[in-house]
Amino acid sequence: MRFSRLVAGLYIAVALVAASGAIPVEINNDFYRGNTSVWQSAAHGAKVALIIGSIAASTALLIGSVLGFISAWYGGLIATIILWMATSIAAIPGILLVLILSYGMGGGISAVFFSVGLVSWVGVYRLVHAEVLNLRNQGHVESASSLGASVPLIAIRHILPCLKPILAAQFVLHFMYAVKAETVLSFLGVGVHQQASWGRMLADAWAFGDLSNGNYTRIIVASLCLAGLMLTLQSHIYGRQK
Amino acid sequence: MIKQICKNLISALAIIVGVHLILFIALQSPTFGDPIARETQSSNDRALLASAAQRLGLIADINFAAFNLTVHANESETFILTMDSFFRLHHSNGQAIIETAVPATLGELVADLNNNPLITATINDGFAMTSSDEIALVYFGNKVTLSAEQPYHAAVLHPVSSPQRFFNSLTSLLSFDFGNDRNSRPISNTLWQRGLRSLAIAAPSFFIIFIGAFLLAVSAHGRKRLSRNLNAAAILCMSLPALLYIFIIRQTFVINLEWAPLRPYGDPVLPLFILPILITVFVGIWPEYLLMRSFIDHRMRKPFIQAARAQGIGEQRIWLRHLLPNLAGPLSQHVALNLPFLVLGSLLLETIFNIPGLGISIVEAIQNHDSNMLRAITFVVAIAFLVMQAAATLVGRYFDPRQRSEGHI
Repeated sequence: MRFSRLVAGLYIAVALVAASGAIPVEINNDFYRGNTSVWQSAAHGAKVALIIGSIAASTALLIGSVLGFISAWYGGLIATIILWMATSIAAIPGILLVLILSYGMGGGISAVFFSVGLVSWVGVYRLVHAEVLNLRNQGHVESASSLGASVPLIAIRHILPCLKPILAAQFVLHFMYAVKAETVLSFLGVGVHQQASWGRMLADAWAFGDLSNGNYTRIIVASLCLAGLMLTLQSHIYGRQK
Repeated sequence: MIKQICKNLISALAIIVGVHLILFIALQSPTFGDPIARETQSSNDRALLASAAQRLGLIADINFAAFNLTVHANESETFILTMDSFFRLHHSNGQAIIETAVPATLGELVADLNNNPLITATINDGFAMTSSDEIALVYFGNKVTLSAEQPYHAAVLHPVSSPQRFFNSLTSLLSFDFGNDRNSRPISNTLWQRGLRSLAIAAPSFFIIFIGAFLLAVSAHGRKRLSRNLNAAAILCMSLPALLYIFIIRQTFVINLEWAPLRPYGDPVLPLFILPILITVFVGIWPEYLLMRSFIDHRMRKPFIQAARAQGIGEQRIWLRHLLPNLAGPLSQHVALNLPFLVLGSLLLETIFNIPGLGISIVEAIQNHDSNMLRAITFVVAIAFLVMQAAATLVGRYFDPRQRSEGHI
C-alpha cells in the first residue's frame, strides 16, 4: 500500500512536471517516427493518462451517483426513465459505444474522457441505486427526513459519507478503464491527436514498424508505464479491501 | 404468462428505441458537431455534401440543377447568397446581397429573381418545386459568393425534420434495412459475411477461455500457493496492454519464425487462425479466471456447503452434487450475456492481423467516416444482446428454482 502510494506519487509528479512545460515535446514527423525522446513522450503520456482517467472517472461518478440517488429516492416514472437510459447504454458493448461517441465528438483528449464518462456511469448508477434503497430506510436518514432536512442536505450529509468506500473503489476502476480505453482509441485513430500519450506511442510504433526495425524502446516504455499505473491502482484497491 | 411475455417484449422494444436514440444523438444529430461535416471531413464538394446528407437522412432528395442563375454586375461587386434568406437584392458596404424568402413554387421564385435587373434566372426543363422543398446554392446555413456574369446551378432539396428522421431510421433498422455503406455496397451482406468471420475466431476463443478459466479456478481452489501465483500472474498479465501481446506474438511467430501467414484469412482454414485464437485466449483468460474464482469462493462459504461438509459428505460429491449445479445458473447467464459481444470479434486483433471481420469493419467505418455502417453494427449487436438476455433469463430460471417461484420468465 505504501509502495503503491509512492509510485502513484511519482506518476503525479512526472505528470505535473510535464504539464508545467518543463519537458517540451514537439509534435512533428520526428516525433511520429519515434526520433524524439521516448522518455519525454512517456512523461507527457503520464499527464494525458492522469487527465483522462481523473476526468472520465469523475464524470462517471458524478452522473452515476446523481442519477442513482434520484432514481432510488424518488422512484416512479423518473426511476423508470433512468433505468431505461442505463439499460439502453448497457446493451451496447462499452468499447464500441466509447468509440462511437469519441468519433462523434471528433476525437481528441476531451472526446476520450467525455465518451468514457458518458458510458461508464451505468455501473456506478446501479451500485448507488441499490445502496441508497438500503440507506433510505435506515434510522439516521429517516430521522433527518422527519426533522425536515431537505433532500440535497440528506444526500450530501447523510448518504454520501456512507457511499464513500464504494465510490472510491469505483473511481479507481473507472480510472483504469479510461486509461486503457485511451490506448485502444488512440490506436484506432479516434483518441488523442497532436499530443504525446501512451496509446499514441503504441499506435505510432505500429504505424512506423518499430518492431520490424528492431526498435523496441517506444513499445516497451509505453507498455511499462501503463502496466506500472495499472498495478499501482490495482494494489490500491486490494489494499483498501484488506 | 402472456402478460409477462408482453411486458418483456415492450421493455425490449423500449431498449431498442433507447439504443437507436443514443446512435441518433451520436451520429445523426448535430449534438456533438455537424454530422455532414464529419462525414465529408468538411469538404466543399456539393455532390459529396448532398450524398452525405442523403445517406444520413437529412434530405429526402436533391436536384442539383433545378434552375440556373446569373448575376449581371461589375466584376468588382460581390454577391452573397444565403440559403435561408433569398429574395431581395440590395447593396451595402460595397457588397450586393441577395435576400430571398423561399416562395411556394419555383416559378414564383424565378419570376421574383427576374424582376431584379441584375439577375437572370431560368428553370431547367421538367423541374417543379413543391412547397416543402428548399433552395440551396450550397449546403445548409452556408453562404456563397457569386461572381458576376458566371452561370450557377441552384439546387433544390427536400429537408427531413429531426423527429421524422428518427422515426425513418428506426423503422428501417427494425426492418433490418441497413441501407448502403459509403462505397454503395449493401450493409446487410457485409454484416453477414464479416460477422461469421469474426465469430469463427471469437467463438472458439471464448469457449476455450471459459473452460480454461473454470479449470484454473477449480485447480486453484484450496491450493494457497497455486492460487497466489495464479492471482499474481493474472494481475500482471491484465496490467500490460493487450496491444503489447499482439505486437510481440505477431512479430515472433508471423514475421520472425514464419509459422503463421501474415494475412490469416486467405481461406477459412482452421490452422490459419490458430494464432489469433491463442492471443485472444491469453489476453482474455485472466479476468475470467478471477471472476470464476470469486464465484467458487463465494459459494464455497455458503451454509449449504458447510452443512454438507458437516454431514461428512466427500469433497468430490460436494463439488459434483452441490457446488456445480449451483454454479450452473450464474455461469450460463454469464456466458449468455457475453455471447452477443463475440460477433464484434476483437477490434485490435482484426486490425493488426488484417482479418476482414466486423471488428475491422468498425475501424474502417471510422476511418472512412461511414456512420451508417457504425449504426448498423451497433444495432445488430444490441439486438443480439437483448435476445441473449432473454435466453439468459430462461437458463437462470431452469437452473434456479427461486427464480421460478418469483414468477420470472
